[in-house]
Amino acid sequence: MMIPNLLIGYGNPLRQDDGVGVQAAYRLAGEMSRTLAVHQLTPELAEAVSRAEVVLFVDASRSLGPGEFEVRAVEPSSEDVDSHHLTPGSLLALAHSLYGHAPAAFLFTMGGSQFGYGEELSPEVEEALPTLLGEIRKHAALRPERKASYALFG
Amino acid sequence: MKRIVIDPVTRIEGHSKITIHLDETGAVAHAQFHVTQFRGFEKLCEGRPFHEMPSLMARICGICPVSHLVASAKACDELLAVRIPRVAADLRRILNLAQLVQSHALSFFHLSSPDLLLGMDADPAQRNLFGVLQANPQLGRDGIRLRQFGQQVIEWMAGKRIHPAWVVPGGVSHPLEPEVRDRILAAIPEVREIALRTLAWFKPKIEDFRQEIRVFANFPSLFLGLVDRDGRLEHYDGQLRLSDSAGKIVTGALDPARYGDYIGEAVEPWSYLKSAYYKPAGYPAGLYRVGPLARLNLCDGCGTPLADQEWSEFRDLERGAVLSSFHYHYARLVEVLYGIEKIEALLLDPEILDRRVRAVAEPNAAEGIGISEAPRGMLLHHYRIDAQGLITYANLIIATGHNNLAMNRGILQAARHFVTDGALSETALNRVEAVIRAFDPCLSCSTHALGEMRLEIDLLAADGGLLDRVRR
Repeated sequence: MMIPNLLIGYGNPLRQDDGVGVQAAYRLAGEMSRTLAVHQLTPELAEAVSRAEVVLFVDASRSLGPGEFEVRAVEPSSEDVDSHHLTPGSLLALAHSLYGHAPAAFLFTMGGSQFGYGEELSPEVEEALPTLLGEIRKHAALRPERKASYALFG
Repeated sequence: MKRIVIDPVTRIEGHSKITIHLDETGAVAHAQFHVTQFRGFEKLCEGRPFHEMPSLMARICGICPVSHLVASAKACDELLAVRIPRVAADLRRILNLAQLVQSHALSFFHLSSPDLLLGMDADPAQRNLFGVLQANPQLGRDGIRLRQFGQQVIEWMAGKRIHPAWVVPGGVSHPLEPEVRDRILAAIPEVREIALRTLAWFKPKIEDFRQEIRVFANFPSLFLGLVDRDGRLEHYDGQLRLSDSAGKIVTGALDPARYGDYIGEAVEPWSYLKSAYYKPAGYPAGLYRVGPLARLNLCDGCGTPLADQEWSEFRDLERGAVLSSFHYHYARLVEVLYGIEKIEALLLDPEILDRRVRAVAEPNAAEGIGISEAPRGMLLHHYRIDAQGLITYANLIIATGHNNLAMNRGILQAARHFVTDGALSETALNRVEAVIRAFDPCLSCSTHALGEMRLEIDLLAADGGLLDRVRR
């Protein structure tokens, strides 16, 4: 059965800002059709991905400034194949290869400032998180034909 | 002396490299498997309250945390000096088997099936998960489904699929709910069919790998693992048994409490991975193997109907023990089938829903040892505590450490066969890696270290100069 949207937040919640994707998944759990909080993208997620109309990936970034975030549309890609973890694009390609459907997808990445041991997000990320969640909500409501291309926030 | 370096080794769990030394004539003289990561879990848990140990130890690994949970909890049961409720032991057993299924599926389908389906000499650009999906989508889907099943069972029973905290000293924290049992039972027919289908696909293919079977760590050795009271396949509890390459039992019912009498751990300067050996035979002659191949070699049967049929066929590969480590792949599939059948049998016992699942006690002993079978082989946790229940000593012996001597010898055997003219061809590289992959080493566990699995192979000249280095 298809669901309207699936949010996959990934990262290590024990390494401060690296867990921002997981935090997003926790905080939007009641608002999305389905949310998954995982350490990394693995092949087993392909089935769940194939059953969604829109998939929203949320990850941390070291290259963006603290609290800055970007959103980009993700296309299926069979590059960067690794047996342990996948990129959003390779997970979409896997979903298509195995289950015949690669949904529209967006990758949200937020820059962090602290990646040490701890479960607390940095103040910059904590402050920017509501804006990120707002953008995720908007994209969750998009239909496949309304793919966004790329936007930078912050 | 010349040297070839392979760095890093790919499609295994953790970081490692391989060095192959050549003599003056260019022939392979010796080979070393280096594990290049270090974490030191045994030291960092000193001073922690003993009851934290299962959850703390589970953090050693993201692939087989349940094995550490189980071995650690069993060591803590000894510290409490309690006999846990039978149902609690069975619930832990189911959890351990669920992990075995998902871990074996990862090894067979995700890490090794590119070699097994597409061939060892296939284009490296295609020899990956997507190559498998193109060539045999059903195989890809089956691998994902089996792994999903194992992870779901863990999540449904224990709350989450990685690092669950359900297994505690004295038993498990809460009983099994009927709806969880029914959900797992409903999935059994599908995954059992997958296991049978995969065995039916793989067995005829074995003939295609005669060369690899001959030189992939194919030598006489001892085998160590658990069996149940009747000598059958067992992963949670039972008796430690050692058998030889003729298939004969060397020692039955080894006492875990006296493991120091028969297991030695040697340290080599070129690796963080210790080499376990059978003490009475000395080092390194006391080489032994653990894991699925060892378990099927030393047991007298599986104790479930379909797996017993497959086990008989497996044991017919050779007159004595099955010696080629290539057959770890085959053994893994037999164990997957066994795991599924055994989970079903345990869940069909009406007592599995019993609400009494934990023995509560204060520490009543100063020392505890827990042994279980992880997917890759026997796992031992040994703790000592002070009067306040704080850990004063911890020693872990991990499956990959048991197999370290065999892996090193296996690399040498394969390198002697495949490395020619002082260079590392793609043919040789993938096969040397595949020897390691057959053992499915978990280097995070074995060094209790954190990291991604990468491989490096060095080819060294007689004077120690680097002739060739391959990184993945």
